[in-house]
Amino acid sequence: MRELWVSLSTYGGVPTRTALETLWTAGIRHVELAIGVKPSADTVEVLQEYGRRGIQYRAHHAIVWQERRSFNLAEQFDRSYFERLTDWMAAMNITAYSVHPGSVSTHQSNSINFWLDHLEQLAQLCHDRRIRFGVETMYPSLFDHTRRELLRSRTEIEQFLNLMPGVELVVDMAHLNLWHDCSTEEKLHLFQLARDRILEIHISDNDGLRDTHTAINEKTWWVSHIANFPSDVPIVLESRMNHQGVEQVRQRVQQTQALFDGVTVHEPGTH
Amino acid sequence: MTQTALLASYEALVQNHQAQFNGRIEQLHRTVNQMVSQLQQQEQPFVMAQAQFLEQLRAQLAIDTRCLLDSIELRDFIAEVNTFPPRQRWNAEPVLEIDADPARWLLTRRDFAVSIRDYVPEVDHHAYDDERTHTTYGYRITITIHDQTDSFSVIVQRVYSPIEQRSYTLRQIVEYDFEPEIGTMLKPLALESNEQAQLSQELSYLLGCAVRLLAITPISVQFRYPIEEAVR
Repeated sequence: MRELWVSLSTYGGVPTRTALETLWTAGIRHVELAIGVKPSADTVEVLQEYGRRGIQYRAHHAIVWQERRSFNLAEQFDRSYFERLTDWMAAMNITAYSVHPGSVSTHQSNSINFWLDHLEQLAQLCHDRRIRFGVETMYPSLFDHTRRELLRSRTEIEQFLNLMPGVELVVDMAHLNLWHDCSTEEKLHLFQLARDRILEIHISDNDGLRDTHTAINEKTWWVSHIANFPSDVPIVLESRMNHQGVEQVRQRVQQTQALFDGVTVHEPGTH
Repeated sequence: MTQTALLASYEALVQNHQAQFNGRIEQLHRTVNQMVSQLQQQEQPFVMAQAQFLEQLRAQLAIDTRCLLDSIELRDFIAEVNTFPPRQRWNAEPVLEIDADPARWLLTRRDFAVSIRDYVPEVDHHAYDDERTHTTYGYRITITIHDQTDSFSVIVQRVYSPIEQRSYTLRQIVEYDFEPEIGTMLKPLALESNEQAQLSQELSYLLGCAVRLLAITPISVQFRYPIEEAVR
C-alpha cells in the first residue's frame, strides 16, 4: 500500500495542537508541515510530543515552528534563518524539505542568477544535514500580471533540472491543472522528464482558474492517470479540510488513500 | 559637561516636551471623539431609515430576485462590470458577451424561481494560500434557482500587509465565483449547453447586482500582524 502523507495546511486556521490532535485521532501518522496553522507558544513542544507518539514529518515551504515567515527565494535569502530552520528539522528527524521556487517581477530580467544561488545555498544546508531538498512546480497566475512565477512551464522545469542536478522536483498535480497550454500527455511527461528526481507529489483539486485546494473526486483531472505516477514517490494530500470533524477527516483521507490502493503502476516509459 | 549633568539636562528637556504637548494632544483626542459621537447621533435617523427600506428590499429579493430585471441598478451594474477586461482565454474559446439590455435576456423567457437571501459579511484573519497568511474579506449568500438551493462564500479582497492587498474586480467575482456555482445549480434542468452558459451568465449578473444592493455597509479593511497573536 502506498503511504499517503497529509499536509498540515489541510487543517489550518487553528493552533498546531488542535490540527495535530484532529489528524492523529483520524488515524494519520504521516504529516507534512506547511503553512496554515496559527502560531502558538507551544508549537514546537506539540510537534515534538506528536513526534514521540509516532507521527513522522516532512516539511514544505513556509512552515510554522518556533518562527514563521514567508519568503521569496527569487528575491531574498536569509541564510541565518535557513540555518536555524534546517538545524531544527535535522533535530526533528525531518528528512525531506521542499520550497516554492518564488516569483520575479515582470520588469526584471537579472533575478534568475540570484535565484539559482539561493537554491544552491539552501540545497547545501539541507544536504549537510542529510535532508532531501526539492522545488515545486508552479503555474501562471491569472490575477497578478506584475509578477511571474518560476517553474511554471515544462521548458522552465527542464532547464531547472539541467541547471540544478543536486535538487529534486515536487510535482503539484493541482498546479498542473492551471497549465492551459499543454495536453494531459505533456503534463504527465513530467514524470519521465524528472525521472528519479521527484521528491514528492502534491494532490488536490481546483476550478482550473485558481489554486483553491478543493476536495478530490472522480472527475479530478489526474485521478484517471494514477497508474502513471511513479510508484516509490510519497503522495501528499493538500485538499483543505478546515473546520471538519475527525470522522469527516478520516473518511476524506481514506477515500483518497483508496484511489491509490490497488492501482497497477506503469513503469516509466511504458505509457 | 559631565555624563550626569548631560543626562539631567536631557531628562529636563523630555519632561518639558511632555508638559508642553501631552495635555494638548489628549484634549484633541477628546474633542475628536466628541465630534464623532455627535455625528453618529445625527446619522442615526438616516441609518434607521435605510435599514427599514433595506429590510423590505431583502424580503423582496428573498422571494423573487427577478424584480431587478427592469431596474436601472441592473443596467448600471452590467455597464460597470463591462468596464473591466474579460478573462484571458487560453483556448481561443469565444467570450460570451452579455446583452446590455436585460429585457432581451433569455432569462425573461424562462419562468423558474430565482431568489437570494441570508447575506452575511465574512472576515477571516487566519486565511492562507500556499505561501502567505493574510486576511480575507467577503460574504456568504444563499441562492435558490428553480428547486435548487445553495450557499457559497465569495472573497472580494485579500490583505497581505499594510501595503499589499489584492481586490477582485466585479467581473472576476461574477465570472469566477457566481458563474461556476450557478452553472452547477442549473445542471438538473438538463438545458442545452449554450442555453445553460447564457443563463448562468445572466443569472450571475442579476444575483451579483442583488448582492451589491444588500451590502450597503462599507468594508473596513484592517491588517493584523500575525505575530501579535502568538502567545510568547
